Amino acid sequence: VSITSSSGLRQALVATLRANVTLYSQILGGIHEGFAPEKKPYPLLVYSMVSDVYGFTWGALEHHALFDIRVISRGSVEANNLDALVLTTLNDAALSVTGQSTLLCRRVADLSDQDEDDEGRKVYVVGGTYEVWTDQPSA
Amino acid sequence: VPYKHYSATHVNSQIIELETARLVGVIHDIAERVASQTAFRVRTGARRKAPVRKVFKGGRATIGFGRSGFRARGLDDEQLARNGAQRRKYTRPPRSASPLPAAPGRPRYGVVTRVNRANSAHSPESYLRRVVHTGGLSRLMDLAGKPPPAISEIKAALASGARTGGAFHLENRAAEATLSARGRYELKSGRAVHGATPGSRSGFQLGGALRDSIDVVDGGSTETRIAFDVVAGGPAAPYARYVEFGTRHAAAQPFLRPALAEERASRRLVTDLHAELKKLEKK
Repeated sequence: VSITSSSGLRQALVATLRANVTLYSQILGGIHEGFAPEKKPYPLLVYSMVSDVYGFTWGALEHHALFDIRVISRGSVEANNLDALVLTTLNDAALSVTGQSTLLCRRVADLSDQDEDDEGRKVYVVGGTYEVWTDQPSA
Repeated sequence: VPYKHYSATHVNSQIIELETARLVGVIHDIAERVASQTAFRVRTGARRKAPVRKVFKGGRATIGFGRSGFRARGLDDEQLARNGAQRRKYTRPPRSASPLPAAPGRPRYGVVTRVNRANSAHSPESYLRRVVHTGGLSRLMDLAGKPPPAISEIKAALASGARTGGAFHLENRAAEATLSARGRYELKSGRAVHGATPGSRSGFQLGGALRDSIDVVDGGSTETRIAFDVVAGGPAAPYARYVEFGTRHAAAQPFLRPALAEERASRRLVTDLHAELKKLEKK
């Protein structure tokens, strides 16, 4: 069985977010994996993969992945609005993953936090955890 | 109760109720046992994934003072004076004013830990705890096997001028050669020294505070619901959530949720429960 890694999953996730023009145009700081560089303007979007467990069923490969996707903004309202857009974009979305078909893409938890940026100003971190299942059929 | 007062149907229904209650009790016990085993497997997985400060050259992660023949011991005043230069070398210089006022007899350093934006939000209580954990040598050494001190105790110790600028070293000094530069700093400053909790197998530990803070607690089980929580953090590692979820500046290094995801994917809870019920069926 040839195995595809989770990189395609990450690419598909970002591509889906970028495809939403309304959302993408409002995220001035861009989309970043892990964390955003210091000087990026707000608001910005950060995603990170929490886990990706492989499951093998009858020769097929399933990815069960968890992603944290958070909007970081100086305004609470803006952060929540953008998070709602992310939710609309990703919940039950059919991600286009190379070599795999999406079985599930669903928000399973909310994330909310406050942080302090380099200038000592408060920033709001709002987002959620998304569960993504993909299936790679046996050849 | 005289039997004649009850009809046969009544007695039968009572027996059935008793049997059902007993069966429910047995199944509850089985479910509880399997669930707790699952929770402990998640804990083990999370501990394996939790990032640990590397204090040894070559990647060994932590050192247990109570294990492997290593012992930590504090230095007395004379040794502290003798090793002053070395101690200064390894102690982070104060970067801003201490929130505690200067006073005669107040330790010269060690009280002033780095106070910056990252920890300025801490409460006075957590700051005082930090003081004790970072340099409260004599106090810290007294804590072996005892619960953490109350805030009032810490305040009293500070007010009485207890020495807080401390240093640790390994009893086996040769082993210190295997420490990395970071490890030497952590050891001398006592910054990452933790442990000495009641019931812990080892005494003090260098590094691994987050990993050791991961544990299983009851998640509010009731008669109809069995719940266990795998938790991390606490006073020894209050930064656990920042590691799990990341911050504006630092990428997340999740350890709890991946362990849970792996456990879910393995479906061992289901198979274990099934096996236990099969055993019950044979009985």
